Amino acid sequence: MKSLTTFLFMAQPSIYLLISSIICLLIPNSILHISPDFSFPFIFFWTIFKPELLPLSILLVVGIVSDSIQGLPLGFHSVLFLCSSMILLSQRSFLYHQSFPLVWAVFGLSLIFYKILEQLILRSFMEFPFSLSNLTLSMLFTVSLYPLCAKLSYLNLKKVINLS
Amino acid sequence: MLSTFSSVSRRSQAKVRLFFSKVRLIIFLLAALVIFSFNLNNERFSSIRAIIFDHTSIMTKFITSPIRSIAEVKTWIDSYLKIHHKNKKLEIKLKQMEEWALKAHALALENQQLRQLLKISPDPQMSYITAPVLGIVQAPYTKTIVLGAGSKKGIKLRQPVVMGQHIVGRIVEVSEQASRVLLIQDVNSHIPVILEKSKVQGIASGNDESHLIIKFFEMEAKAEIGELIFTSGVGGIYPKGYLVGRVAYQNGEIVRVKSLIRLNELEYVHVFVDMELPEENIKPSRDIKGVS
Repeated sequence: MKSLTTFLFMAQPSIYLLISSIICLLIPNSILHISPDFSFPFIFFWTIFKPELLPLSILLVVGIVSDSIQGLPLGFHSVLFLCSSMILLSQRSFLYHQSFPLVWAVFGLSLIFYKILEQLILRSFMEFPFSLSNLTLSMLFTVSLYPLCAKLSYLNLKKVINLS
Repeated sequence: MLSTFSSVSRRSQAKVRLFFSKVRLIIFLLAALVIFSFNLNNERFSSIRAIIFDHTSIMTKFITSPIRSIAEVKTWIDSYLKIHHKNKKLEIKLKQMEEWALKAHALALENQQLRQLLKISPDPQMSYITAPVLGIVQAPYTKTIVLGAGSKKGIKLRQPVVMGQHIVGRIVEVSEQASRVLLIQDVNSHIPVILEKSKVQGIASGNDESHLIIKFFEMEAKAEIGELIFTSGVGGIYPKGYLVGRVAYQNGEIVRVKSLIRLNELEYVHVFVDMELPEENIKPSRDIKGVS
């Protein structure tokens, strides 16, 4: 029973990522273009604080599942997740011991790079109307969503550390 | 001496671990890039994609079911609250429809006689199958619906999908058990259309928002607010005379059209399975740069 509980806590980051990558399907169409990005806060947190719990294979698989559900070319989200993970891992040693406000600020900056990368990959295979105001609003919502995601992930991380 | 040796050993172990984690990351990134580029450029990859789609279509049904349930409850409450008012409205409408049915019958007979006189070949009969809607996928970059019928039922790429007299979209992905319809509201959807009154032709394209935007073939063409828009049949993908929507707004050259289909209420759609589609070089699933 204890090993099952441990497994469930260990698997939670992957479950968070899977849910967050497909939760956009539940958002009404009228506000969809300004809705926050739910996946990036989780990728950011777990890549910085415990990358072992969000393995690269999960980033690849969740990306493919998300693309298949959304009807996008397979690999689009995987490339996006893995690229952002690669950039974040290079900054991990610096960010690991920083205060929350600084980590939050870096999250905002990383989000800009993440969104630029997303638009670049998207534009490599399809035309999509670009709206700077919508993108800015979406990013602002994502930045304001980060503390909640970080808190949720932090509670999970504490539990995992206690269990192990 | 022993402690120094163990700390050096630990440090070198950490370095090796870091090196391998970097190698692993590069391998996964390369794998993702290969999948992405194969998916865009290789037709053989479509069978793998179809297998994945067969499995994820069940997930789509599961994910979107709460929205559908909420929409159903809302519709039920609305119809229950407005039952008296709706009944009166329907009685009036029924009388109007009876008159229209008589007129339509007379016109159909006249049309048939005139066609015989002019020796016009009859319109090809189109057979369709009815497919259940598993889920409506309105993601940030795509607007599609997933159907619970696939190649086993005769569904093929690019076949048009309708709901009554309304055009819904076209098939862009098929697996054995499921298929995906690109909705007319998607940015990658472009339909040849004709205006109800002025008979001006144009192309209705999906937009980032819920409206469609029309680009007319003629300069300075104008549309009336509320005017109906139908498919023109040009290009041969979409059948002629199906309703696309109603003009909602016009500002200069920009004409916005509102689709009359309530997506959340879609339960079944018709797919024209026997329609002869023209050959085209454009990859059907997406408007891919460099291919079109």
